[in-house]
Amino acid sequence: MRKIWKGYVLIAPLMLGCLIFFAIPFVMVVRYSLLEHGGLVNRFVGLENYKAVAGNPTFQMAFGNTMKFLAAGLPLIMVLAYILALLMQKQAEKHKLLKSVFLMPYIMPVVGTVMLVNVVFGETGLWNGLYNALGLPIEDWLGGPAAFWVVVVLYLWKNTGYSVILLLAGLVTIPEDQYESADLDGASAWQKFIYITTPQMWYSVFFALVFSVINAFKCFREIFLVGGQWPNLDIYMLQHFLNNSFETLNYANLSVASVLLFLVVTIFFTGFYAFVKRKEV
Amino acid sequence: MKKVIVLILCLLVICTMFAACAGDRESFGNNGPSAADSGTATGEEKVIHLVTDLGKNTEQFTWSAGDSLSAQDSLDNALNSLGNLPEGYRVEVEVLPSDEAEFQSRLTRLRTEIMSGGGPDVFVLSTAELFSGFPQERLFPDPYKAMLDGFFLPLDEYVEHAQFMKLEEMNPVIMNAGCTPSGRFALPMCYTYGAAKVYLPVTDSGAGWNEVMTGDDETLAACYARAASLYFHNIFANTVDYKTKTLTFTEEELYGALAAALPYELRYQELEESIGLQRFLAAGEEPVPLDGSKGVMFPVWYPEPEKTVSYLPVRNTEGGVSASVTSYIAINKNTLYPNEAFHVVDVMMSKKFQSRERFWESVEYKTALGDPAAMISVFSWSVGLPVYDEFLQEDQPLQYVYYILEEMLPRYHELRGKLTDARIISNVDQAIDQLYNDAWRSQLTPGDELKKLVSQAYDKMTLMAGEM
Repeated sequence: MRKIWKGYVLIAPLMLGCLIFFAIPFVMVVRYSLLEHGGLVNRFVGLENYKAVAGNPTFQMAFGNTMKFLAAGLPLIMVLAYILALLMQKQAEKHKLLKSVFLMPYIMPVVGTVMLVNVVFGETGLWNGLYNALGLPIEDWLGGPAAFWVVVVLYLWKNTGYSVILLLAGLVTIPEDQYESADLDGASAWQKFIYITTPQMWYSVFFALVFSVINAFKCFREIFLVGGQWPNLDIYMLQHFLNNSFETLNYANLSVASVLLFLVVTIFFTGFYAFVKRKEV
Repeated sequence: MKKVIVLILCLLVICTMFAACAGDRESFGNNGPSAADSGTATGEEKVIHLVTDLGKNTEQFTWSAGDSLSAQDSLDNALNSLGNLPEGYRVEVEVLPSDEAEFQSRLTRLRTEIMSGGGPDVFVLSTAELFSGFPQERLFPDPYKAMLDGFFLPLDEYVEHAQFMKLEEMNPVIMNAGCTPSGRFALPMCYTYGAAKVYLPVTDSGAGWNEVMTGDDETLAACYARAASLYFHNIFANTVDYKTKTLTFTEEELYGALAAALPYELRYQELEESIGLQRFLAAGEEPVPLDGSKGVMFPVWYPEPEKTVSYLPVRNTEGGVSASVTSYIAINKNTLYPNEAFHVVDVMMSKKFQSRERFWESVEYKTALGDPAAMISVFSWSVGLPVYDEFLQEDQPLQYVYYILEEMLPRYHELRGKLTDARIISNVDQAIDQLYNDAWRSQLTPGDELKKLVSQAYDKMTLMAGEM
């Protein structure tokens, strides 16, 4: 009991900060989303704001683009990071510099990343230079439909390394003697992966997925600097909608979009966590 | 001992957390009064906080004249001469900074203050693009939307009992721009509209933009195109449907309008030399001193009896003539002192203030290339005329010196009388003007490049409308 009490005392400052700066403001946002004009007028309007925002084609497009980005980016990053982590599993201890190299895109300043994107994918960039040399018509990589895939590639390049580190941390905790026993029993690499590695990696995968989602939303900084406040329609994300709603003082849009995003992300993580709990050994 | 250390550490962390929360105003830079000061008391004195972005951009390109008055001094002088605030009240003027980074930071802070129920008491805001092609961010990107959302105090009752302003002497079409179906929420201060002057007998048939630009009368089409070039958004009577949050025009219509107008604009020199076609805003630009008399005249209204001169407005797609409100004044709905705030507004909307007070000093400005250019004044003809209809007559000049000769006044009034609607320039309107300027600077003619530019701009405007 005394130990529990000490623990609560130690985390009290953090919990208090979370309460004051996250929990209470969130409850206020939910309240604003149920009032007229997002709280400008103190009149309860129920779900009217939700209907208006959900029916707004701009919000639908932003939401759709964000979900499309997550649907494309998350599986790709998890698969890529997992493969790299598996390949590095045995090499990581011998070549410690590899982990640092993988993290370099992650720590690169946003401005540097944006400059790189412009140098590679700009109208007179390297990629169009290559196209030109091959006699192919040049593309508007940053201003046309291709911008979406440029952003996905950017996200993968920047954040795969971080996910590799997280998954690698999980992989190195799997006891080596399990693999040796499996070798003795004549198990193939695929069987070892399915029956030994995967069951013990679900929590690490979940952890890496959480951070991948967070990093996906943080990718907005690069998208904003590349595409501007109102970018090409294919890369107009929910954060653009939220950011611009703040600038136009549209509290209804802001509060409703925030709550809807929170609900979607919560449902997704709750579902996946329940799945992981069933699967974890 | 361990427990004591642990407890002390926890207390230290808590104290540090709360100490970090308490920033003082200096830690945010020179941001002026904070939200807490909005209509607040300093000791026994109550402060009416007025924020303005007028005069902001003159700092970037100009230096003030030797004996310039600050905005604060000008307003204090006006209050002293016309009618001071009640005992215990004073007004504090904040001009938003011209440095872009500081300006953005201050805008963010103001928006946060307003969202939290505070903010300044009075807004005196500009919508004009002082240097065409350089859109500026506004505190309220769409002032009409801000009126609909209820950011501003309803003014009908206050205006009815105003002491100094005379609504009946203001241009009713322009003043309507500050009204919504629920009433009056903002007071336009300055406005402008595009027009053309040509040395040919051209009749204003009342035909709308599309009819003229696709018709046979090339001279009239050239006049419309030139007149529209400064504020191209005025070819549309309105640009956003606030109920459906969509644009009121299609991409094809926008492209068609640009494709029709740009070829004339590219030939402006030829048209000026051949038929004397000039574009101008409202009263005109670059006033010059009259020989042998007091006063300063607008060349575009100088009598030329030896020539046939026609003055034409640009008509929008519905056949009307739209004006743009370039500055307006409104009161924050959250103000603690609405009567006193309106007193300040009343003084600033008075005839005396609008005609004489050099609220923002006339300053010499340089062009972007550093060449000295004419004197401009932020609060005058170059970015809008004050809303009183009787100004610019010799006995009611602007800023003591600007007027139009009596013999030309009927023509000036006739042109102005054709105005059918006005609106406060919004971010969508700005985007249309920006599109026109981009097309013009790139010397684009109808074709694929122009279509691509229009398409990108249209997508942006669609997003802007959808975010409202």
